Amino acid sequence: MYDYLFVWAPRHLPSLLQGAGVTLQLAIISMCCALVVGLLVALGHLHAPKWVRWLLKAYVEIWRDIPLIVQLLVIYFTLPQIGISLPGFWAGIIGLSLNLGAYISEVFRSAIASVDKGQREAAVSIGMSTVQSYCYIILPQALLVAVPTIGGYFISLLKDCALVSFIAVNELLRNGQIIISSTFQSMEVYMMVAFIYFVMSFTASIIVRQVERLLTPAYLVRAHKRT
Amino acid sequence: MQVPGPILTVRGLCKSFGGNQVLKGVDLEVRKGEVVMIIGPSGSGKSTLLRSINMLERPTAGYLSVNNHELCWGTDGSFQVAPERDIRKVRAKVPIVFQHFNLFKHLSVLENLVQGPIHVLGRSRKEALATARERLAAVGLADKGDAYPAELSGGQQQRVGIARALAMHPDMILFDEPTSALDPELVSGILDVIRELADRGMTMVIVTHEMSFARRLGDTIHFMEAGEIIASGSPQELFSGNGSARVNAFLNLIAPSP
Repeated sequence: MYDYLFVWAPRHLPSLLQGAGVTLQLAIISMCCALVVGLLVALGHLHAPKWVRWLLKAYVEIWRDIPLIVQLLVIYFTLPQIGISLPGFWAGIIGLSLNLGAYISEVFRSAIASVDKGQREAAVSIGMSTVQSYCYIILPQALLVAVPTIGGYFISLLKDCALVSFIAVNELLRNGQIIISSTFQSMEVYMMVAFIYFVMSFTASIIVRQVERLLTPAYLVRAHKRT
Repeated sequence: MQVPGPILTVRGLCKSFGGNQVLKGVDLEVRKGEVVMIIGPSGSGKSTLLRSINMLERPTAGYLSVNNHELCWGTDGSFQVAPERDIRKVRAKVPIVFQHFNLFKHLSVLENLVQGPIHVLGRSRKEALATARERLAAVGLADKGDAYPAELSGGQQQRVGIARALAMHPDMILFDEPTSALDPELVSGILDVIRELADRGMTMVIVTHEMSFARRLGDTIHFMEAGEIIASGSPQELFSGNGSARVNAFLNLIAPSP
């Protein structure tokens, strides 16, 4: 035990933490891209011409029906065939973003649909453009509905990032496996990897809850206090 | 002195939803300062007509101009609608007070009132807030600026709805059954607010089921049925019992003479 904590861990922890850093980068960049993709796809579903809607529908369906790991492998190994050679990190970002974007587009779509149509009418009837009515009236209300679900997706994304180890990205899991290949201490390393994932996810879920609280309008907070 | 032209001109306005013709060639004129009441049975097209004036419903034929800005013109083959930008400019000046209030739920009362002035009219936030406070006081809710719509009663929400319309410095306010979603005891408060606006010379088009209110406050009353205005006149003319049998039957049904 003493050896594990004071000799072994200090020797390998930096490499694992560095991997955890890569995992975090993957998760945060992919999340931002997925939010943009998801929002654009959701708006496209609601406003684009029919043939675009059909394409978007196909995108969402296809991406949701193929395992993420297969998507990552396909992107990593086929893009070089058509002349686009991407480092594993960016191939991973593309795969994760498109995958999560497909799911998030559905979250946004139903969140936007949940906003009463009278809200849009009230905005438009005082002369707001469609873009303004989305920015100031519809999206702020839709976001409130979407945030808990999207927060949940972020936490599972953080864990899904482990799959990117399959396309040679030195993130947390792969760095762990590299250590194992030289030390053969599977149990110790995997325990450590598991612990780091737990700390990251747990912290993320606390942050998500804080964000939710920040976005809750004052009247709901007041109503909550009264009861 | 020049006689002011009509602030609203509607000629032969038609609106169809699919094969269902809801407006069948409506003519309507409103002059500055006039209070126009539109009454009639449910499903007669009153609300559709009102919403068309704001272009919230797009007419399918006919002529519509607000304050000398033509919004649509032509008949079936040659029907045209003004560019979106022009429509938005006119809309800002003829806000609607909705039956179900439609206040922006995620914003406080004051924020509800400044959205249009800031984002559409381009006022500064400071100026918009000053106007908002003044309009809020005018509807008797000076102390509710920081409340959210969900914290207000129906009557208070509708007052905010009216204040939100007033904050746009409107040329004319359109009321779509403003008291139909309210409990009976809250109705008179809203009617009082509208009466005060009339006293101050606000031009208003009001779709309503409150017959005694229409009779007392309306300068002109239009009776709609099945997508057409079938009778128009001053309250005295319409309620005298000398008009068509159909109008008399309707008026007797909902507001029997004492």
